[in-house]
Amino acid sequence: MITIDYYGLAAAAMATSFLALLMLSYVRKRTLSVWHALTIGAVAGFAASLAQRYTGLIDWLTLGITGVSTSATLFVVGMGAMCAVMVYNILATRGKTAVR
Amino acid sequence: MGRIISQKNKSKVIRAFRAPSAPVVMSLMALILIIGAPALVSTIDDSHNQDILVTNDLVAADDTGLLDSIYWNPSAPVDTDRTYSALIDGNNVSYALSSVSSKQYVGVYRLYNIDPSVFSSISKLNINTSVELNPASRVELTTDAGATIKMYGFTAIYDANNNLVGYEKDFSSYEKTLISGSNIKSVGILFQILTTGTAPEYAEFEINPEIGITIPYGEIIVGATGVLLIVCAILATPWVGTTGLTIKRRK
Repeated sequence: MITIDYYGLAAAAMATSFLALLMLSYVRKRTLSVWHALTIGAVAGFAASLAQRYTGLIDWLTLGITGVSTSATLFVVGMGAMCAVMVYNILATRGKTAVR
Repeated sequence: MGRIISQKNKSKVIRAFRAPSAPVVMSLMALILIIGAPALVSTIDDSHNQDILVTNDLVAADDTGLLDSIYWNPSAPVDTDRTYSALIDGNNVSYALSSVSSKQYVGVYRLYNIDPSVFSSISKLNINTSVELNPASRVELTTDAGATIKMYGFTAIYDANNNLVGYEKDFSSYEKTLISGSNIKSVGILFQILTTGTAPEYAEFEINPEIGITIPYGEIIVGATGVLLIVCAILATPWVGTTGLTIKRRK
């Protein structure tokens, strides 16, 4: 039976979303097709898996999400805040910029 | 005339070394923080900033005492004699098989139900044994919720004559945080035999959890990065910039 680590999965999704949003901030093209989104998502997922392989990024995020460590929770809150601000900026500027 | 030329040159210089825009700086900083902090933590070798104070004795997690078991290889015939006797004396545990022929089917020697307080503030786990172990040997933490956390990384130790004298496991910043922060119910150690058939008839392990004071640089770096990221997130909003608040005044 395969056991799914939901916390690890959430951490991986968070890392991928963060990297995808950062990549999106460099895309100057205004109209974003499904293919752009898929490509950005795939590259961000690959970058997140590389970061996990060499730095254990997702392990620390999992610690933060589960509340095991206060420091890791601060890290997750900071990352979540950055993601939220980038999403807000993208929506407010109609896709022009993620960070301003 | 001279003044005009110098102004032209100045504008050329400015154009050549134009500072990156705020979004570029901000996003690069966020990327460096997110990837850089765990990378830095993973490179920290805690052995340089820890003092080993004492070797803890093994204590049982509850009244049932320290427990032992042997996992037999799935290929073992049904009529294999699976009886053995185990002796747990202080930090020494030994397993003696009843039948010599059954040693070829031994897969894993297991000692479990160890009190998690034995492993709190652990720096290193030292195991003295002559039994050759597989890299799959591990420390297993069982949480209150019943989940199992596995920690690998036993390194073999040899004497001057290249004879195996035991194994040691250093705990990373991440593993130490996990041990101290998780609700751990009990701890187990699994000694997986190198290859099938190499188990001895009598196996002995001396288990020494070495406890010490370690400055938690890993947690400090990750926590400080979290605070910096929150500051970055605030600066990335349209209302706050590096020069202060940027709220438009109403006319």
